[in-house]
Amino acid sequence: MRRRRLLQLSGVAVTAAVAGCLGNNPPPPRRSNAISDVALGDQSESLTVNVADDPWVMSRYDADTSGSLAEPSSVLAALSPVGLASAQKGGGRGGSGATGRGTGGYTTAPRTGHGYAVYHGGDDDDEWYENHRDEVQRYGAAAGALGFAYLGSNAAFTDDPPGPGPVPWDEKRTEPSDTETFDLSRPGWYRVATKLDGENVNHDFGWAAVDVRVDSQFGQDSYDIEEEWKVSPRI
Amino acid sequence: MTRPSRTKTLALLCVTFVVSFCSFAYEFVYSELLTVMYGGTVTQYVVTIGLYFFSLGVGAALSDDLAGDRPSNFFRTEVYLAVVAPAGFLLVVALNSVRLPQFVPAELVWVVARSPVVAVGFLSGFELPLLTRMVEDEEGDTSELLPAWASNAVDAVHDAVVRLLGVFWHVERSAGERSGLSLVLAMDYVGGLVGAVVYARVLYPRLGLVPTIFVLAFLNGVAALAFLARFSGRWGLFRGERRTLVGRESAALVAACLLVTAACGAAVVEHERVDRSVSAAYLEQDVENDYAPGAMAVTVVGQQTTTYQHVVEYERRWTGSGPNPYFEGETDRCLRLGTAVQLCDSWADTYHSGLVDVPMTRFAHSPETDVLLVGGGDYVAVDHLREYGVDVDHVDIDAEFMAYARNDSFLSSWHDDAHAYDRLNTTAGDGYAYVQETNETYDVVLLDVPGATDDDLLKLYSTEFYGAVRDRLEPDGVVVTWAYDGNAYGDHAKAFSNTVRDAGFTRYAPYWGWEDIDADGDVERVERFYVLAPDRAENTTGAAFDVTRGDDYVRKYGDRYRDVRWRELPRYNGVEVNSIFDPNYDIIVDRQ
Repeated sequence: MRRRRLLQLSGVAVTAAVAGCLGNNPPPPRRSNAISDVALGDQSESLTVNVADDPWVMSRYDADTSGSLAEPSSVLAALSPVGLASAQKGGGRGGSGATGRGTGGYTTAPRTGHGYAVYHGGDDDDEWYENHRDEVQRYGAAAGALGFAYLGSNAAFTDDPPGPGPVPWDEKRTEPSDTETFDLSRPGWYRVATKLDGENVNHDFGWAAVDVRVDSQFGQDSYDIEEEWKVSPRI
Repeated sequence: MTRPSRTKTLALLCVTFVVSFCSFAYEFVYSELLTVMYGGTVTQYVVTIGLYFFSLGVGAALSDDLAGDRPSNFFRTEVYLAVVAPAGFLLVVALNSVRLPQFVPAELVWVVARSPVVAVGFLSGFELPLLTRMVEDEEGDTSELLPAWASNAVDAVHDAVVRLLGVFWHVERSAGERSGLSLVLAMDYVGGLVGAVVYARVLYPRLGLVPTIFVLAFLNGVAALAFLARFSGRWGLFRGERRTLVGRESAALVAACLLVTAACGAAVVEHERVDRSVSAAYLEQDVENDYAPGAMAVTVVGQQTTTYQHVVEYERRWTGSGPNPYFEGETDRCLRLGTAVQLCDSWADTYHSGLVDVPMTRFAHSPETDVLLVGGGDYVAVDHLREYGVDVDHVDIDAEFMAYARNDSFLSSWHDDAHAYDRLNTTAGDGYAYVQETNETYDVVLLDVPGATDDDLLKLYSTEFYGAVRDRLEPDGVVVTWAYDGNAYGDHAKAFSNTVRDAGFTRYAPYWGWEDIDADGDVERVERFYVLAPDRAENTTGAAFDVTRGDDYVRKYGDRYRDVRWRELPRYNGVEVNSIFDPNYDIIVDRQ
């Protein structure tokens, strides 16, 4: 009887120990609202990108709080995109980033307030932000540039899906207006991203991006949007 | 004690020694294996040893339920261990050699990867209680186990130890007979000590992990067969003698034991071939897992183990359906140190141009410029430094790898015998210790160190290391290092930034190495670099580089370097500094 009790207690102890070893989850994707909408333009042969009126980005950057904005109640429901990293010594081109994009994970991925699937998103993201609200601040940002790039066919993209960060841009608008349009040339994956510079702080927040998969409409030259992913670095 | 009884007891104690030897060594093999596979030496060793002892306890607690036929159950335990231990080892290797579906939770993989530790610990937990009972079941005075001269020597030592104990405890010297428990425990600890020493000094460094697991399984098999020969009523060599311990083993189990022992013995004899086959299979898949499924095929073309790392040369071949974004041509030859890629033909030149040629635009190209190179045992960075005629102090911990690099044809094509540079002073030693102890000061410190993939490298990413480097800088001196990009490795990048800032570096100039590595007409980012300067440093405002003083590479990409500006190194909230005595494991890059 005592042995059984010993085994029970030991089981509880080892379960707790194992749970402790497994409990180190990475932070969730960074939130921002730089790109408010990506949609098909006229004739469904172009992409129309709307840049937010007052872009903001959430960050753990410490600017002595003077440059941060008050956090609105809706901030946890908002969202934003990504860029590409290339650290060769650090592991290929920054990791394959294959987290469902191009591999069937679109329908089950968490969504942003705009309906984008969230790259690296998880069910516990809100909880993380809530638990770390003392560390995270919302900064006003200026959309310094808007980049647009064809990332490849669906098959090619699946072979090498870029992670967060910039990619070699096919087009780059250095002073983007509220709405910009890019012509679609072929089916496949496209990235639109905006460069975020601190508005009241001297800090480069990097890029916020949306990856879009478009496919040809049957028998026509126009396109449909099949997937939209917000691709953000972890906060 | 009768002679047969004495030999039986001695046989049991010898078996105790062997199984304890194996038991301790298994613990270390699994700890090291999990460290190789998942990184984090401290974490893996602590968790493995914790789980192992827990499992030992469970096995020991259940051992009373095996009292029905202790000899037979002990024999079975050894056979199972000889099978489970290497099978578990290969299971962990296989887990890391196949691409698991995304729906498989990481927690499940974690548990499965540790299941061999639990299984081996559980089985080992049976051993001591069974052996103790069997020794106690033997008749006679255990004081007669040894010859008279040996008994006298043991008694003398015993007397001295008891007198010493008497200083601190109330003691009563027990004359003559020792309990079975004390004998078995003593032999267990002796076996454990020998197992630890032999593993650390012989098995792991000379054979490697893969052959070691087969050596241990072979010993378990031999112990089972020896036990069988001495105590089996059906298969033993002493079937005619009167005894209390009689095992009853089935023919199938004996056959299985012979087969497993022979197989493990063959693996030991052919250990080099087995080691290379298993290692190559794992390493090839490990590299391929860095890419999307089916996108890259990898072939290991050479490997060598030094005291500090495993050196692997391999060729990668693009097999994806789209254009190859990684390199031009059919194949690309690369070199890894452990799990960290060190060099590929496609970007070796760009990387070293970024590390050396770009920051050298800040300094005089003469022997007046003093450079410290930490790492860079492949001598390629030295080859670039040689072009500027500067004095180079070079420190790398791995003398064996440097010797390998000097003679290896692949690396020779990149370093062009730079080890013979007459202004080069190479020290084979720990970079951390070097910067702590040297009195030299430098204009440039280049950190060509491996990635932060293992906590063995924590100290090279610590505030203490960067603080010591800062103290070795001239007033206008800088540190240059490659860096993980914050977009892909956010946790590391933030921890690194806070750590370096804590060490006194408040200014930095981030830049990239650029090249069209896949020859598609677009110039790509190849590697991220930081130039770091302390707050007291001179010339850390405005432009970071003087492109007009650059080499061909810098002039080619001059537009990308001309506007690189010094900035304030950012600090992040809620991110701990990585210190040697208070590590922040977020700085370790998770490869899983």
